[in-house]
Parts: sequence; structure tokens; C-alpha cells
Amino acid sequence: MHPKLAVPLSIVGTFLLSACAGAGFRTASSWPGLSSDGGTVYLAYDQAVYAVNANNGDLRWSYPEEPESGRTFYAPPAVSEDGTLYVGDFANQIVALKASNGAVEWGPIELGEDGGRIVGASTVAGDLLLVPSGDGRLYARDISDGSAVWAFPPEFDEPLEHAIWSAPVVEGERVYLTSMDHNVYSVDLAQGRQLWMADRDRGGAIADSPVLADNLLLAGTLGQELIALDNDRGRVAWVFDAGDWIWGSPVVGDGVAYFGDLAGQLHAVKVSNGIEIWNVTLPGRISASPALSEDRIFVAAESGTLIAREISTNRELWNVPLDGELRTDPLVVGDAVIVATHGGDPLLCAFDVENGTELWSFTPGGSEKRCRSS
Amino acid sequence: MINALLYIYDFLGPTLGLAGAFGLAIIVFTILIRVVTLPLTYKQQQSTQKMQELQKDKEYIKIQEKYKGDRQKLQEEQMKLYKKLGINPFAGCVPTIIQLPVIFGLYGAIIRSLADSPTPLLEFSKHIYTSVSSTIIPLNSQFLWMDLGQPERFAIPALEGLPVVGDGLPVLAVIVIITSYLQTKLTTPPQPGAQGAGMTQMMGIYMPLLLGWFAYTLAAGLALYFVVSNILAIGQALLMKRFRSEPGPEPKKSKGGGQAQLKGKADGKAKGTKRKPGKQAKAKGS
Repeated sequence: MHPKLAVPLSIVGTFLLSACAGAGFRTASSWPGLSSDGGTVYLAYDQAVYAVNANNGDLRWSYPEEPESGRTFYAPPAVSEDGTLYVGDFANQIVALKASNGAVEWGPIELGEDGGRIVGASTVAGDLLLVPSGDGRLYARDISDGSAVWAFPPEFDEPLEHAIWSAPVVEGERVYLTSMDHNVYSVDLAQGRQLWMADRDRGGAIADSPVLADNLLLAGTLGQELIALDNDRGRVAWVFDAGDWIWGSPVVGDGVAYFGDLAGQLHAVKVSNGIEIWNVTLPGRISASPALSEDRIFVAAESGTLIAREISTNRELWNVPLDGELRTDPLVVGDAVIVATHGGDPLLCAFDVENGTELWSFTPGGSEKRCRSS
Repeated sequence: MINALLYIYDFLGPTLGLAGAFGLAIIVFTILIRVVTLPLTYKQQQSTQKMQELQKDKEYIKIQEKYKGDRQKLQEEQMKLYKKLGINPFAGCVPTIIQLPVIFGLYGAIIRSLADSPTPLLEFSKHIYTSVSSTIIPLNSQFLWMDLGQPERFAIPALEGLPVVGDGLPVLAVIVIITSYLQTKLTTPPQPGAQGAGMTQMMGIYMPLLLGWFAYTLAAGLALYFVVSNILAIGQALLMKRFRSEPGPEPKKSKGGGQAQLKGKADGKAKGTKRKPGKQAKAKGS
């Protein structure tokens, strides 16, 4: 290179690459995590966890009092029957909060030694709290104080090859777990020993949780398939080819599994045999799981539109365009369907399930903006 | 660029079952880039060698002495001589300019491809062709001791806890500095005059340090690209040097003072270069 050009080119290069580094250097992020115990909606987003009144959108409390550097929350909080909230963060820590006022019961406790992020919701199973981690392990902790009970794979062993981003599903003494390493595992709840691992030759990674229906485990994969495994041995019962990545979990009602894909198609597939009953193309990619309420299905399209459809007639009931992207699973609480926007304002919106009328909205710090974007 | 990397990764990893497929994909990709830009880099190195030979050219030395007090006139005369001898002093810039978008593109591709949390992965999905097998997602970012999406450090347990090197030694950054220095030295044309020589010297230090800094602070995948690219460039420069200095058949005699002198010098050193007469004729015309 000619020296006269080398210096300016280097300066431009330094500037551009530094800019790239700042903006895109493996920025770890996710979308809001949402859960509810009926009366309160819990929202984990960015540097805080918010408890919002499910009836009017008023803030009850938030945690932590002041944002902590390097600590962000995206996993949907888990609520136990005794009124404790378990929240994981992107620093691989878990904290137990009093659901009524947000006071810390124990923690934050760091899981493992290799870093990682908690993306999926934790699951409460009896005295155990099961925490899926991005470090490739499922941690079982005592719900009373967060002490370690077991880990899968055990901590003396290698972790799974890729992260676990999905909430584990518990039935009886078994835990079912999906992973970004493409596999589905069944683990014994008492000791965390592997019972089986589904043999899926070069199947896709699984980002969200499996769903149990009629002794089958259903899971959507980034390999564009909805797979059904028999929950006893993990053998493949059937595979449905969707045509694009399936990110969210299916929801099951009356023997039918409903799920969306990144091509924007909403599918209805028979659980018993994997045969498609209908599909409909919606405006925008679908990464969130749909929500069911009687004969209605609510679908959040990434483009920012919440859509309500009638299942029996397969027609649209209403839709609401929102500010921001929709990647969080919508939640039906009473007569309201609640959605959290990603990068939008307001952050939380509640609509009447019947007609899509806006019931309330929530933005940390308050906002006068309406949910429906023009 | 993302999809090219993914196709190579799919072939090397899931299909052939090679470990560290993403690192290998970057290496293969770098080789392909060097092959595609070979005609340009060849021209650059030819230009470098011609410039080196020019330093000993009688007419060139005469001009330097004659106009040493008049910089503008000196530059004018130098440009005339370049034109006469078919040397483009800026030919060396083209491959570097082409490298820049490749570096930015590759860096973006590495960062996107190794998405390790939900939002980046969903964004990444928007950039993938439907013909790329989605079963290869997420990619394995491990290659030898490196996580290709993170700055490279070679962990040494004995150094743990120490300042600066506690997280490990930046082996790749050091290799980038050394290979960049060698590459710059081999491929940068010497510049006439004290100012030009000073700039060449500065670049010989500045560029390797700059690339080393990138390798130290940015994703290891990019540092791997720098290392492979530098090694290939060094190899190419050495090969060209060797071919030019290999004795061979007597070249055709050409007419013209400066041209003949330069060729004579080049050929004298390089008796029988591998350059074809046709190529030489083309250079003459330019």
C-alpha cells in the first residue's frame, strides 16, 4: 500500500471497526420476560423486574431499587404458590423475591463458574427450583435458600454443547428439557440423572420449551420442524415440516397444537398424528408462542401486531398494531390479553380479549402514549 | 458473506465432521478471498518490485539529484518517469482498498453468525438464505483454544490473577503484529526521498500495531483472518521474489533508455523473469 494512503485508510478503518465493536460486539440481549399469578403481572426487562397490577397497570414495585451495572433481566419470572418470585439474570444469577413487595428473600446467587445467561424461565417443582442456564446446565436449587441440589449435566462433567434457553417442564418425577444443542432430554427430578435423550439425527436447535400433550412431548425447532416425541422413551412419534424456523412453543387445545413460524404462518396441527388442519399467513414473522382463551387464539407478530382469531371459524376477530416488536409470548389474565413490546412504548399493553379495546398500559417512569400505534 | 461462511461451515462441520469448523471456514474463506484478489495483489507486488528496482535506476537517481531543491518539479519528473516505465505508484492501494470492505463484512458476519443470545440470533435469521441448512444453527464458535466471537487469549493457569496477562496471553495478536510487519516490509514499495522513506518506515510500524490492536480487542475470528491473510501474502511475496530472481532464458531486448535500463536492472537481477512478454508490453502501454 502506498504510504500516503495508508495513514488515512488506517484511521478510517480504526474508526469503522471501533464503531462496529461498540454497536455489535456480541451484544447479549433478549426481549421482555412476562409472567403472572393472576393479580399481578411480572415483567423482566433490561435492568429491572416490575410487578404491575393486572387490573389497571399500576406499578406495585420494581427490583432492584437502582439499576446495577452489568445486570439485566429477560427471563420470565417464576412464581411459586407460596408467593415467592424467582428471577434469573444475564449474569447467571438467581434471586428470590417476595412477590407481594419485591423484598429479597435470598440471593442473588451465581450459578456455575463458567458464566452464562439465564434466558428461560425457571420452574418450581416441589421444593426444587429448576433454573435453565445459557452455560449449558440445568441447575436444581432448594427453593428455601437457593442452595445447590444437583445440576444436569453434573458440574464435574462437561456442560451441554450449547445453551439452554427454555423453561424445563415437569411431570411427576420427570423433567423434560430442550436445548440449543438440538436435543431433548428427560431427567429424573430427584437426582438430575439423565433418563433418556431423544435421538434426532441433525435436527434443529430448540429455543423454547416442550409442551406435554397426550403422552407426547411437542417442540418446535430452528430446523423448521415441530417434533413429537413419546414422553416415556423419547422416540420420535411424528415430525411436521413447517417451512421456516419455529422459535416459540406450541400451545395445545382440544387435541390441536397451534404454533407460528418465522415465515409468518400460524399452523394448526393434530397432536395425535401431526397432520395439519389449517394454516394462515399473518403479517410478520412469528417468534412468540400464541395464547389460547376459549375459542380465541392470540398471536403476536414480530412486526408489532397483536392478532386475535376465532379458532372454530379460522377468521380474524381483531388486530392492534403496536409500537415496537412483539417477541414475548402474550399472556391471558382474566379478560385481558397482555403483551410486552420489545423496544416500544408503552412497554406493557392490556387489551380486552373480546374486542381488542385497550384496557391499560405500563411504561417504567410513565408515558402518555396509547398502545395502538397509528 | 454470512452465507458463504455458512456454506463452508456446513460442508466442513456437519458434513465432513471436522472439529472447529467455524475456524476452518474462516481459513478457507480467507484463502478464497486471496485467490479472488490474486490478480490485484500480484499487480501490487509487481509494482513494489518495480519501485524497488527503480531506486537503482540511473535516470531516476539523476532526477533525484537534479531537482532535489524543487519538490514540485521533482514530483513532476518522477511521475513522467513512472509513466514512461509503466509504473503505477498507486497500484499497491487497490488490494488494500478491496480488503477493507472484506474486513468489515467478515467482522459483521462473524459477530452475527456467532449470536449467543436470543435477539442477535433472531436478527441473524433474517440474513440467512433459505438454501442454508438451518440445522447448523447455532454455530460452534470454538476453534483450538479460542472462542472466535470473543477476543483471543491463551489461558495459562500459572499467570492467573496477574494484572494484564491474568486472563491469558494474546497469542494471536502477537502473531498478527509479526506477520503484518513482515508483510508490510515485503509488499510496501520504497518511497523516494527522506519524507517518503519516513512514511514507509512509519507505516511499517503503525500498520502492524493497528492490526494487532484490532486482534487484541475484537473477535478472535477476525484475528484469525488477519493471520491467515498475512501468511498467504508473505508466501506470495516470497514466491514472486524467488521467481524474479531465478535465472532463466535471456529476455527480449527492449528499446528506450530508462525502460531499457530498468528492465536491464530487473532482468540483470532477475535474468529471465517469469513475466510474459505480452504482460510487459501491456505494462509499457499503460
